[in-house]
Amino acid sequence: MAKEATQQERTGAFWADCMERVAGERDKKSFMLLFDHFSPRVNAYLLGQGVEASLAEDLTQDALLALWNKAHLYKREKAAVSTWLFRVARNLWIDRLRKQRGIAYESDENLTETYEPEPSINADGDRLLRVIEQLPNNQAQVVYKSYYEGKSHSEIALETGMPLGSVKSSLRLAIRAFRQHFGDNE
Amino acid sequence: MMGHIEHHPNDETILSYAAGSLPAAMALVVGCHLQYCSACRERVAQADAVGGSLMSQLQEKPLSDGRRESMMALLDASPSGEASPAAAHESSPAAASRSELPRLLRNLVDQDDFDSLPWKSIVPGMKQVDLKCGEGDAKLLRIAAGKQMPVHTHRGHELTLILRGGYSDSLGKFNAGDFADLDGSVEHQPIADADQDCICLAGMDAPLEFRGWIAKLVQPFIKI
Repeated sequence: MAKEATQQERTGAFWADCMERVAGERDKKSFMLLFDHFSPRVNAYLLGQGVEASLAEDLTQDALLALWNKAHLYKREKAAVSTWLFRVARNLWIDRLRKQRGIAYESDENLTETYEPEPSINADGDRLLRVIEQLPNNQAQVVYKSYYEGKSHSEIALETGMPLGSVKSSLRLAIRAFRQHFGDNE
Repeated sequence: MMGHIEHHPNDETILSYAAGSLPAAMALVVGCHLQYCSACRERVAQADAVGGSLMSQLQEKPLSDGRRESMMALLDASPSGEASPAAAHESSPAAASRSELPRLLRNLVDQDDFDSLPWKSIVPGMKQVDLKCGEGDAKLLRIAAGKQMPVHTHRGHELTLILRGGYSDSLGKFNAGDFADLDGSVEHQPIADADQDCICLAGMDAPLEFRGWIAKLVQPFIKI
């Protein structure tokens, strides 16, 4: 049960349970648990992308509100709550800071109609976290700059002094490590 | 229309698309490929999961006082349940499914068939339409049936999605739905299939703008 879970027990499955209670029962307590856990992280993500502080808080609220309003679309076998929230938050900062890139992503409504269930995705993000923590420094650096700072390959090369080819190969190696987590060994 | 897809985006292209860090012109090509390729939709979903895990790991930046209360107030004000209607400019699924163009491209050019687009001849046997995407260069290319393109390398990282027909080059046979993910080192000479024109969507990175005096100083020595 939600109320008994301690901080340590709050895994991906715990947050998926909360989402189901929000969807099924419009349970505000479950929602506020999600809010208290994820809003400081979404806010940190948006600040990292260069969103100005008060706008970042507005967008964080928008992202969490989307969670409340679209909870009925959430399918735990398709994605972890953190994955879902990441997509929403990414689309929000793109819309504010890099509006041009909006042309390349389907709206949430289209996604639910066109994206079939993807059962091979392990919705438990907790093990993935450990993979990320074990990446070598240069791989972690390019992954962070891609995800947190919205930097393109050539921008990362310029900033870090790494050759463009090394930026790409570091990303490729990191993905290989992630893929092992997903149990899809080539 | 799209058969079995043989060629896909590279891993680093998928990751950057999911991260939101691909320039618009290149991201558009990936987004259109996804409509036809469930395998790559799954790869993007995995990369989104990485993004979600990274986000969960960030040093927390709590919201200001009062935000929690205003959030709770918003819950009561929000209609429960149903998704809001899609924005007016979005194509309805039914209309989009009748279009020859991928949904995202259709949203951009507001046309349903390739022949209605404003094609401009660039060399005999090759036409193109420049797409306005605001970041990087995106265009549609139309190579006449059986026509061979001149040997060329790419100025930078270039992504190409085949939308109709097909071509062959030293990298293999590319059919509708296939994706060519080429960096500047690749030299190739595609030949369009003999039976019909080959139509492709191509997107490439914009030349970088360098801010800051150190960057300006080193710019002439960096080859991108």
